[in-house]
Amino acid sequence: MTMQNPLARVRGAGASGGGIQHWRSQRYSALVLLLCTGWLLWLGVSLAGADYATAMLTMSSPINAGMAILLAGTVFYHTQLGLQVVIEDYVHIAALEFALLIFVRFACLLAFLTSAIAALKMALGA
Amino acid sequence: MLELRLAPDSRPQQGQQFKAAAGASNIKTFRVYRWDPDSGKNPRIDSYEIDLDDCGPMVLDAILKIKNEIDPSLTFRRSCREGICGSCAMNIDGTNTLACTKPIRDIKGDISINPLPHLEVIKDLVPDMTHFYAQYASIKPWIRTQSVALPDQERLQSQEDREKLDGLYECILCACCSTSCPSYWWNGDRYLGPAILLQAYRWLVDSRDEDTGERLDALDDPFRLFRCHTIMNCTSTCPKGLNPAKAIAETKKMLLERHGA
Repeated sequence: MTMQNPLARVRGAGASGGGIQHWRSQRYSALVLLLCTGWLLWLGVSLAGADYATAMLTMSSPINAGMAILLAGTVFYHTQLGLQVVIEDYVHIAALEFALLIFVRFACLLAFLTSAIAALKMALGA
Repeated sequence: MLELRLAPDSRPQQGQQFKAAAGASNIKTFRVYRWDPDSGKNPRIDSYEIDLDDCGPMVLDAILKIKNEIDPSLTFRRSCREGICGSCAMNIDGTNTLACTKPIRDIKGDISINPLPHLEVIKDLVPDMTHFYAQYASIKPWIRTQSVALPDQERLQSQEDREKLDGLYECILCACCSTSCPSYWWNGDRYLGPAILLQAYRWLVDSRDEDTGERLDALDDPFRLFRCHTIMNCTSTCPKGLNPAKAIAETKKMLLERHGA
């Protein structure tokens, strides 16, 4: 039981001030994702029926390798931002919430690094 | 964690049934949520058959008829009976609205009446609004100025600036919108909800107010403002036809403009 004044409960620890950056990052990454998805569709169409060597040659061009890394970065950054909101919305056990938020961040970072290294391997012909 | 079902002792059970008087021809059944905190029992849904030929046109008329003629223990708030005070906000036929402005004829079949969702119930259709009102107080809903007011003059406002308050000043704080918002259900302890955010925006765009920066500072928080996920239930349900979702979006735009791209 607490006898805290209702207004004190509402005011809590105050506004943390980070709301607009997160919201803005969600929107901007969504926009970039839209552009990257267009590139991915174009790539899929242009490589339809192509053999392995042609595909590797295409992916070795700097612009395509750059787009692939940008796509991976945006996808997993956007995923991390979205999952963060879902976890904050629905997980109300503080320890579990923190654990999940940290896990999602590292999982998305790992997924990005893996994808980026794969794209670099294609680009550098390793 | 998220709870998808009510706690066992909060689940409504079948209640009493009150039949219409013999000879009634235009019968409508009202299924009303009842809970008495002193009874120690679960909530129940009582059914009341009302002869619409002997009843006013609005849902509030029917509820008043139930209280006056059938069951005086039925507890609810009401005052102005014309959509100005916001007292009789409740969930009618699955939608939050004002009982006094909701015509009975608009609802097909039995009419289900429950208290506003996701607020603690004090009794029957009366929810506890303490937290909601504290949230309203937290945005300091009054003019805040730095300049000294001239003793012989009011703070003037142009007609254009006054028009910016249209669609905002009409809010009666009935809480229909806030209690229809899933984000407010899950995080109402920290998220201010659409009604309070509409009120906050009403002061953000008031040309006479001189505390816009501090008001924006107080809203720039992942929970207070940014738990709004543009679900739009608030705008759909507002019995005054207002658009809290737009007010929230405009507030986010103000923060973005201040912050820069």
